[in-house]
Amino acid sequence: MVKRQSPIQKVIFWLLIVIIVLFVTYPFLYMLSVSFRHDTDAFQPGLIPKRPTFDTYLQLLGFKQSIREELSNEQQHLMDLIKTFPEEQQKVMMERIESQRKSESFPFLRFFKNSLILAGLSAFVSLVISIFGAYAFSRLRFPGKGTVQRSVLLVYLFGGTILAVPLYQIFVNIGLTGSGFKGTLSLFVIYIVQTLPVSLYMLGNYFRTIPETIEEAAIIDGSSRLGVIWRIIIPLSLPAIVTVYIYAFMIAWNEYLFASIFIRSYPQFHTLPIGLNEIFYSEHAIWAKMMAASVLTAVPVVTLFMLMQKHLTGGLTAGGVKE
Amino acid sequence: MRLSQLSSLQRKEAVFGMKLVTPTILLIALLILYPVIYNIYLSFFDVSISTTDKNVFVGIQNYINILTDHTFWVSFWKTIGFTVITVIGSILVGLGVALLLNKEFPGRGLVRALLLLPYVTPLIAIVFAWKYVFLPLDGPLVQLLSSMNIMNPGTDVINDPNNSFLVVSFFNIWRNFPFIYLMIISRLQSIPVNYYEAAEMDGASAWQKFKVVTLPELYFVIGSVALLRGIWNFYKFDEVYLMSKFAGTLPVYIYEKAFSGLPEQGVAAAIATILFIFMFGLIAFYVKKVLKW
Amino acid sequence: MKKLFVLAVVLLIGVFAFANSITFWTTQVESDRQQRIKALAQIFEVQTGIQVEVVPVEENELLRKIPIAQNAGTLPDVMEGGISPMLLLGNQGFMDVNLNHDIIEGLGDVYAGAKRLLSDGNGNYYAIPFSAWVQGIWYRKNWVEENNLGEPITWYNILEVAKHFHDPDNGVYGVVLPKMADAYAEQVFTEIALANGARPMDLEGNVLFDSPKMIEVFRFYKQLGDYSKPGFTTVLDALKGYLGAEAAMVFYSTYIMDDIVVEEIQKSRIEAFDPELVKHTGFANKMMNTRSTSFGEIVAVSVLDTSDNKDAAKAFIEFLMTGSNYVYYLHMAPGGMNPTRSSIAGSDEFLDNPILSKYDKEQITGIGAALDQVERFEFLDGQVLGDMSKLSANFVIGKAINYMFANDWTAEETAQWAQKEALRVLGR
Repeated sequence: MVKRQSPIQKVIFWLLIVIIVLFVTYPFLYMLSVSFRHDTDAFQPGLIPKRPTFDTYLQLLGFKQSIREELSNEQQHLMDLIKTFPEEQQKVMMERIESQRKSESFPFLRFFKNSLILAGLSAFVSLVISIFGAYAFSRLRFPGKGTVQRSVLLVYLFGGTILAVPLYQIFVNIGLTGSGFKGTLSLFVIYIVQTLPVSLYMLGNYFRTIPETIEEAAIIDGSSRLGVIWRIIIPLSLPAIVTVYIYAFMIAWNEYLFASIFIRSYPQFHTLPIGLNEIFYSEHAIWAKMMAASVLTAVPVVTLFMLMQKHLTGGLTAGGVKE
Repeated sequence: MRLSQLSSLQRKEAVFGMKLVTPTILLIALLILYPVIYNIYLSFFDVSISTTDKNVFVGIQNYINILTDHTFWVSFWKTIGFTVITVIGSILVGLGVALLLNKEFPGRGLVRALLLLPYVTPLIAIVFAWKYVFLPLDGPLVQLLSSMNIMNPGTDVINDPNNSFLVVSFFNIWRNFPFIYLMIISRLQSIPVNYYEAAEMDGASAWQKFKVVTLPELYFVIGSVALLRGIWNFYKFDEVYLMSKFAGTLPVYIYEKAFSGLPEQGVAAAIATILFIFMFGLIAFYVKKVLKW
Repeated sequence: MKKLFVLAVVLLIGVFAFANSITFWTTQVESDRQQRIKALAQIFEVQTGIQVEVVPVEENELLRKIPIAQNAGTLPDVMEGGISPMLLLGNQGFMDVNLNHDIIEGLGDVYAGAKRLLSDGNGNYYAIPFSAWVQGIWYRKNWVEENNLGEPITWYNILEVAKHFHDPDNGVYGVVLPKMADAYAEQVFTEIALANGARPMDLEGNVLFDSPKMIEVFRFYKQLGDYSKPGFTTVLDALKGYLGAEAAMVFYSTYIMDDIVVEEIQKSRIEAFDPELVKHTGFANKMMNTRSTSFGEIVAVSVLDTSDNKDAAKAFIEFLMTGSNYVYYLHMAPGGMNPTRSSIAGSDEFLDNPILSKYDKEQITGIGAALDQVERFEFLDGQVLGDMSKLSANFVIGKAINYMFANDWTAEETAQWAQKEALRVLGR
């Protein structure tokens, strides 16, 4: 290990490093490059954009109109339509239309918001349930514990593919389909379950590393078990809890299969994976826009990951995180 | 352990413990275990898509239809091919990278951070970039490969109905090798240095050291990782479907049968059951023979 | 006093709205289109007191949702969608064909060609034609004219143009042809086949993929493939190919009209160069080999027979199809949504649009006229071939084309496969 390398070995070593880095970053380079181009320039050869622009980003975030929107003349036309009515009616019409539009913002921002709420909440609920569960598994003795622990791990054997049809049928039967809101609710429940096993496993492992003596002292002082969880376990395992939250969040943030089953027909409720995929297949000549949307979707998650890299990679290898 | 045999304090604790795991048990029972059984039940029916029409019991007709359907078998073998290629491929790449990065060099921190990118980037944010570089004629990667005479620039690897599962396999390897690299490198770093020193004293070459010291230490990690990746990739839907709708592996086949065109959910349930039974057998065999549990 | 009056009006509206509401299913799910539809619904509500609940439903989900809604008792009062689902549902007795007839007669100037496609065979209508597009070959008119080639309308001319401009070494192709298994492939195939008088299914429901006429169609398609852009190209490639001057011809619907204008503006802004794309674009709205045919789609609206508020439903449809409301609706997709009423098609108000005003008036009114020739596989002599819809839902034609190119099958092999696959899908 400590032996010196010959110059040839050195060159080969660095060559291999360069190849790996290129292999890993290759699509990202084009993603960035194309995202700073106009749609017409999407296929210009080379990596450096010849006419760099922020337009696609500004359009996605609603700061700038696309040419198509400029040409639509919608506002003007709407005004003309309403003009013929009595003034009082005009006011009522405008108010209603505007309040409706406010709630239906730019599609990309809407997908982003929907994903954020859905992933954020389901990861949170999953976290709470698994803190309790993991505590019980790591500290308390109760009948059936072994069986429950094993069956939680069994979940690793059932991919979403196998559950798709029966879950759909179950949710149809209990009436949790048929509107965007109900579909989102179904997803919320499904995401909690999908992330639960990982959270339980990782947190359980972490809780076992906290010495029991700290808790015993608190219990002797008259603290309840719940108080122990709240005042001792949670503060002490904060890094692990954050890690688990981010994992659970990412699973929900990425999920495509169930989202496509339950909310694809309700554009108002689309999450990022569904929304972007639908835009890609329904709109025209939009490579630059798709790449900018990709960048914006990736940035929050990648940043989070890079900031927390140490904890996260540790958790990943310890947990054998389920996908 | 029985509740009645415990002291009152122990009983209190046990009841508390059971309360804490109740939500977990309920959720997993209702949304994982029950659906799996319900799926098997559905596979014997012609499942109606409307809520009030009754499902019609058809016995094993769904299974007969599937097992005699040529497209099912094509899809089945594609799934096997996809799983084998991706498991072996990502282990080889992950192992290679782990060995390479197991020594100190300037910039290692940066390289390690970059290596995680494929794995942590949201799937939807990366598939379009890959589709872009793979576009026939216009894609930069296709242009690069065709300028090296490796492929014909007009080849449409993504939408080819016969072998687009190959490009999906490539994508899967690219996306998942960092996971394997992480698992392997954390094991590599825990191999005591004196193992290598002892081997060196016996005059072992680099290859021999790898074979005699490193590989046996990694055996269990690689074996487990191969199992996990094998299971996950066998069921993999999103990475396959979003990359190419034409890859035609079984999960995609199930999805299309169940949720597009004129849905045949009973048939889809039967395919899922077959998939699941096959997987169970394979895992049992693997755990016994390879991991020697 | 005035305030009190307004309050009373608003209250009254509220009461009415409660008592008087209808549900409208629309397949225009894109958010900018929803914006316009909902604005119209609001105006209608304030004006008449009838509340309209707008429910976006994806086109390919429509048929799946109907039986579910039927059982739940939540069928809409008014529904909008393409010809195929409308004919299918109309055929199953879902529509109030008499009321549809009355509305069409009341409007008075609905194109005969469009009406014909929705007729129930007994003088009534399964649905009311609402907007329409036509598909055909869009070609670089200046290239074709400079080289003294004929308009790509006949099979012969199409092949000549494709051959002449096909120059893959310089990145130019004769044509961009659909080769993926999707609805677009079937649309293009339909026009080519009908120009040769070939149909996959006759009135008795016999499958005719292996007929000699059909084999000729596959052969022509394959031959055209030799001069087409490589890859399993689809509708997005066609658009890109045309706008990027990579192809002399593409198959596209009139939806391309706004894309062409947008491209022209974008080019002239960022490159300070006006490609005059609109001027140099030609459109072959029909095709001929042994006979002449056009392909198009009518988007139709219909009152459902189960509606318990048919007066309101009728009022809403009439509201949508009248004057400025209608124009406001159609302008959500200039070029793609063309009026089915002759009085609107030529009106200044309709043409007064930043996109449409770039085109000649004749080009636009010509779209409606082409509807007279529009033919579909699933509709023959006033009869609906339900089984044809099943073949479409399973992409039998798209798959046949896809495999023909992927496996390099001959026309005969492809025809045999399509025949077998069609019979399998139909369970025969």
